[in-house]
Amino acid sequence: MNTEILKYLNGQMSPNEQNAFNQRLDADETLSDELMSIVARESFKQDLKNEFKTWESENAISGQKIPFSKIAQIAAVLILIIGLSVVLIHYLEKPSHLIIAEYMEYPLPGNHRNSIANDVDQYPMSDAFDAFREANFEEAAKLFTGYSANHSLTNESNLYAGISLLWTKKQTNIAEAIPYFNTVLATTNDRNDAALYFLAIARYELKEKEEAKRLFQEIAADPNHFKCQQAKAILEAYF
Amino acid sequence: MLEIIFARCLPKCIFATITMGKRFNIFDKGKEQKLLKLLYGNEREQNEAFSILRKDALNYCFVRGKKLGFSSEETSELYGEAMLAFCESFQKQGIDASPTGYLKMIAKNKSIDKFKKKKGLIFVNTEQIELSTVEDEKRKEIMELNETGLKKVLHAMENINPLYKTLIHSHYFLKMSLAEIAMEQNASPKVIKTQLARAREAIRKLIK
Repeated sequence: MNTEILKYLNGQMSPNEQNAFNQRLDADETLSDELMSIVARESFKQDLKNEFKTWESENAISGQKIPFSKIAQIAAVLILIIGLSVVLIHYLEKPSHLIIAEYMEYPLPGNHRNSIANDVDQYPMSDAFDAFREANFEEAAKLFTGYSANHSLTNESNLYAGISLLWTKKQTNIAEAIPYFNTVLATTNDRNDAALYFLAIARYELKEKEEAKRLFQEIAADPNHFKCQQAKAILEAYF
Repeated sequence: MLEIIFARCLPKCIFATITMGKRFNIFDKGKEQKLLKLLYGNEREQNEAFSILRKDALNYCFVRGKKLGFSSEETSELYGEAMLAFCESFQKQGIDASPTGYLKMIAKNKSIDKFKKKKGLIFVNTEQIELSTVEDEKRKEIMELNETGLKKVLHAMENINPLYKTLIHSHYFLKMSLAEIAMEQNASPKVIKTQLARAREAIRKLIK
């Protein structure tokens, strides 16, 4: 930039210098053009500055405005991702619990062809079975474990105590059920098959998957086991 | 006003399209190349290019200003200086590749200069410079308008006839000839010359 023009515009000239410069501007068209160029340039720069201020007040201070189309795009992508995830989870994720009616089915003594007590009312553990029938498993477990300690029908009470404890679906109770099943399995009796099957379920629920798998494989390998088919189905779906 | 300036800023560089056509063919893909083509296209395309560039520059300067702790005023100055430098550079020598990158580079350099000035890392107080010394001749490039000078200039431009303002922008910033302005305004070059003389006079009066 011409320093004299700057000095003139900046008010750094004495009145005499200013007058002389004005005369020069009148006479010298190049100098006058140079002054106008500076004026035009600064004016343009100011317009740009104002543009920034307007933009800033519209966008930066009041927060960046996100256009609706952008929001719609993001929403569409999210819906797609969530939808795909749900489908994938549904098809790929293996079921996590075995304590469901389908796998926990086991006949009560009154309906059991091998049961010692065909007349349930006269059966010594009728109160415990009543609680079991009513799905009051906490109470049933309490009563069955009591009978296990005091009654001679230990295999039956032990087995139902274990099943009741499983049904409560509490990790501590499931862990507590294992000794009852092991007690049944310690001797040869007509409850061995059932005890083995529910022991496998208990191991699975306690995340001891290798042991559970081994037990289910044992059951599946025995065609005479009453839960043979179910064990096969569990092995296929859960492992 | 900005729209008019941007619309008129580029015709002088159209000749560059012919000389640089081959280069465009080499880089005939990507956003920057498309932008470059728009810059050297017709008036509508040039407007579109500058609209894109301005948006980029606004965002970039805003982020840059935040990063360097500039006030809103300082950031707006940064934007003004960067865009101005870009336009001037484009007018003088044209741009042969990556317009956004080039604009950002200008803004970055300007922001660094501004930051240094702010922190007093270089001597910039023009009021303290004695214009007659040899040493100050070397410092010419950092001479600038002070607040008084700027106020005078802006006051003058704000208070003249808008038609004169457009004429001054067209002739002195966009470097359009009288004939070009006359053709655009459907007037004779003589009329434009008279109006320009009046515009100059009006500005001089207001600056005094």
